[in-house]
Amino acid sequence: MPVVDCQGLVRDYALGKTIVHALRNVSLSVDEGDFLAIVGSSGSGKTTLLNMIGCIDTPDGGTVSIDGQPTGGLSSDDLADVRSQKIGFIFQTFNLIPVLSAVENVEYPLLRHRLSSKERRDRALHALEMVELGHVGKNKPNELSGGQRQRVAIARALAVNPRIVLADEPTANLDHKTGLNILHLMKRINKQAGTTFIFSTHDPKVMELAERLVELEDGEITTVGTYRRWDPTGALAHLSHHIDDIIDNMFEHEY
Amino acid sequence: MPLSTHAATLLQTFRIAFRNIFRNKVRTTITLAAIAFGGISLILTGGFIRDIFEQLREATIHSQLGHLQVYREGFYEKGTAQPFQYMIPEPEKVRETIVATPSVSFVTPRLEFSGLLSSGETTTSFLAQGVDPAMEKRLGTFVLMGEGDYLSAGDRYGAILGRGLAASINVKVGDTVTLLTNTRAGSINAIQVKVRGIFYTFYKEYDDRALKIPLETAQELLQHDGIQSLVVVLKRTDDTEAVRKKLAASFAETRQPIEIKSWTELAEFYQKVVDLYSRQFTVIKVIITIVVILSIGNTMSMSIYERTGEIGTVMAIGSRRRSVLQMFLLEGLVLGILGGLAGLFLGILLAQIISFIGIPMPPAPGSTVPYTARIQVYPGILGFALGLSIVTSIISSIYPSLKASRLEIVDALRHNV
Repeated sequence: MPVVDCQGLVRDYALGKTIVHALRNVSLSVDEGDFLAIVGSSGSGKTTLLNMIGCIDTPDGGTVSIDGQPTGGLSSDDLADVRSQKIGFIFQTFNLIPVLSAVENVEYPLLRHRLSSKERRDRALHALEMVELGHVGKNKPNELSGGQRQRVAIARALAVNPRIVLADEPTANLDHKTGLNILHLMKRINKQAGTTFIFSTHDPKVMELAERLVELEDGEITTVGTYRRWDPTGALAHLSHHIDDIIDNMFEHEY
Repeated sequence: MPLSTHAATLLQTFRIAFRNIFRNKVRTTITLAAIAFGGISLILTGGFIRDIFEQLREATIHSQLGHLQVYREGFYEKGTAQPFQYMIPEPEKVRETIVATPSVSFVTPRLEFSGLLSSGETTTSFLAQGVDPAMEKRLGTFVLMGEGDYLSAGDRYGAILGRGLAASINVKVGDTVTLLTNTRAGSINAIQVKVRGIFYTFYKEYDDRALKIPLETAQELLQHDGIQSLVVVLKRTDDTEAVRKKLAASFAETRQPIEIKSWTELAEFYQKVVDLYSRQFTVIKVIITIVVILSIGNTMSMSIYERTGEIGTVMAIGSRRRSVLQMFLLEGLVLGILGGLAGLFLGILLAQIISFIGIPMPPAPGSTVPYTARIQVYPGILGFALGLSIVTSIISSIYPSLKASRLEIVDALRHNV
């Protein structure tokens, strides 16, 4: 059973007097453990599609099912429960709560779960350790670098053990190296924990890491597949992995 | 959700609310100052008015009225026209009943009559009281001597005149004046008395007509040995109503035809002043309430606008709309409590300082005596000031908080955090 199943999604926005068709009949299935990139230029509908999957926006037509549960017709509170139990969010602008420390930020979504305060703190610390930030738990967001903030955001998304993590342009506000590191981190968690990741990007270098690509253009899916360059001998692929390893080693301690 | 989860959520919401308040220190300081200002204004105005009431009350009681006045039944309505028909029967027995009642400090008898006062060629009307000089002096702590001395116990043909009355017939201390009045039998009788002193009270109208002579002298002049009223002075003004009820019950039990009036029923002027100032105070309360509501409403709206992205975030990661509402209402509540407490502290401090210095006041309407007002801090006004700060803070947070909790998540998320 796919963890996300979208069928015939339609979403229109009124922009002044013109109607913008953000999504036109988009259908998409995502399996458990996928590492999926939604690509496309600005305004192609990437964010709208992620919002539909994340249950923070409702389609004008079509259906979204999360983990087999149709979300159409759910109340605002029920949708909040779906998000709190099954979905982790990572934002382009990190969106940490400025007045809370790193560990408190990670704990925040856990407040809606049945946990003792000790369990909650342990899970938050564990999530911070997964993103290698166990040592900055007490720092406030403004005391962290951009890359660290995004990693706290990833820890926050992971803390609830979500079925899916949605990341809208997670690297757009980071420099290239830090961005790649974030992507590598997400990929490692995807491999180790089997968490499903869906992220949007328009950075071709980021796309390379995705196992599956969905390309959107003008609110329609144009391509579904994997990112492949012209590489008849496989030498580039080999080199690419080699470079990934080098980058990993170089930046392991510099996130 | 189990209770502990609710408690944890509330605690975290509270923590966020509290920390957010101190995120923008300048704005918070201004808002707290506005709330505290409201509280201070209430405490100072309320305490000032309270002091005026109390001073006027004590002046009223201790100039002439006492706390309670005891008459023969019907005297209050008809006594002025037929004073001799309404003398207190068995005054000694009545006096004993009163003195035996707890909270009563002392009782003094009075015989009131009107007539004409002459000095040389000049004649004017007066309203006289025949009194027990020693007791009346104890009662009249707000009867001040402008010139000369008070009546003394053995001085049978001495009199003291109100300042206005003395001026109107141009007499001084040491002059002899003639009092002319009707006796009980209807004939006219006159007596000569020596002016021992000239007094004034809080009430000019009273000073313009009043004179006091010893009770025996009055009885001699009227050819009647009765009294019309017994003036009761209590240890505490607050006991007035309780003692009135108790006395009424005692007299009813012994079937004595006695009526009792409390100072509040007799002090028309005092009641008018209280009404007037209370109205003004209500207007001030309304103005302060509006100021506090607007200032907190403004702060909350700005705070919510700045945190739109944050609101979108917490809702995206699973907070219900109710939690968002709760968070901002809590912020309003915390602002109200902090501002209210600051207001209490500063209000009490300022009240002490102002009272120490004193506020010089011009004579009240109808009075000739300037006085010094102070600020009386009393529990009622403190509770009201704190309560108002908190309640208005919550009220003014409701609309902005509701607005925040109804934001569309995707729209809210477009604002950067």
